[in-house]
Amino acid sequence: MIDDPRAVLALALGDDELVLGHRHSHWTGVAPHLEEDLAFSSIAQDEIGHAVVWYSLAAERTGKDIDAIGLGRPADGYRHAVICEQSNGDWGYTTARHLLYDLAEEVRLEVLAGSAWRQAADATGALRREERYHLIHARAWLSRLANGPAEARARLVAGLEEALPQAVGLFETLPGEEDLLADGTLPVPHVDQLRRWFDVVVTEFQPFGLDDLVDRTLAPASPAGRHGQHSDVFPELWDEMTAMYRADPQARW
Amino acid sequence: MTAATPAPERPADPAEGLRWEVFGRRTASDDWAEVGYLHAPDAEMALLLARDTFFRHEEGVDLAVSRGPDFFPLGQPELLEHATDKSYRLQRGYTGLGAKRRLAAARAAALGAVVQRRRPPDLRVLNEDHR
Repeated sequence: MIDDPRAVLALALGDDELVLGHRHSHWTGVAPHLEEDLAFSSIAQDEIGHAVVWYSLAAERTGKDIDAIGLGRPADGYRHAVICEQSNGDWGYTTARHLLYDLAEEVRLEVLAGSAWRQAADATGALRREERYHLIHARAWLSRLANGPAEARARLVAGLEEALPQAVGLFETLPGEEDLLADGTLPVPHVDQLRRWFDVVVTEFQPFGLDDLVDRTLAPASPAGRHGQHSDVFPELWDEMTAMYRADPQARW
Repeated sequence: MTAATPAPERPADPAEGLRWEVFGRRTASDDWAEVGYLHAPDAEMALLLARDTFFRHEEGVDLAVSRGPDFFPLGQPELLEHATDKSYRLQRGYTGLGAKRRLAAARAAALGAVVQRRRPPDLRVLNEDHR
């Protein structure tokens, strides 16, 4: 089990991206229409590409192979927030999670840009450029569903009601967080990042009359995803996600 | 009620969307060239979807969508740049296949497996029948 605090931070970030990217990829071939199929598949690939960036930092800290870090851990060694592993549900839930996640990305990457861990701070630059597009995409869908026909709005609201309490888990305190705070690796504790995220989400929702959905008293369950504790949908996802790697860990593709 | 401000154009079939012509510029010194079309409910969505439908593989530095006399450039060319490694989307990302195949064959042989058909069958002749 990897327990170096900086490596744990990199795993938490990388696992969020890998697992959510993998879930997003389940829309490939079945998205609402062909063009969106391509767009959402691209976003899935972007997220998995971001996982590679974080895993390369974890590899540096631990001396382990990047594929072994990304795909060679047992299911309870993954540190993503539980929201990332949830099934896609309908397009309303998918859009809600996409938006809430990418808003959380904006908050945490802004914080990490000021990290005393130089390589982590440097990594945020490229990721934020792609996240900008992800947010444009998520907002485009937010406005169209929120202002769309009654059913579109109802499904978006149902998706947000389900995803909001899950999304706070993205800000669960990390094991070893006190060390990360002490040496400036993490300039802002997750509990304060969560407050920033609430502000961002409320601002985002106000124009659509959706801000009443945000309950600022929500707090992350803990121990949960950051401690390797996942919901009962994860083992099947893990099995699928890592099957090819496990079939032949030495293979070069 | 007067018709001073026309209502936004609506597609006949909302599920289908409006048809938009898509244009791109290969390099900064190239003119706009039409690259295809797609369906989207409005210009903003058409621009977003054009990015991933036609410009995922570094096909150009700028894009625009058009409908009748209206021409909408993306205006944010940085959205077309690849910020992280996307070599898997490009042909040049797949090099050294011969060496990888030989390595795989050697490992298969060491395990006692025999590769009887080294390549997938050529389906081009078969597909002729379905044209």
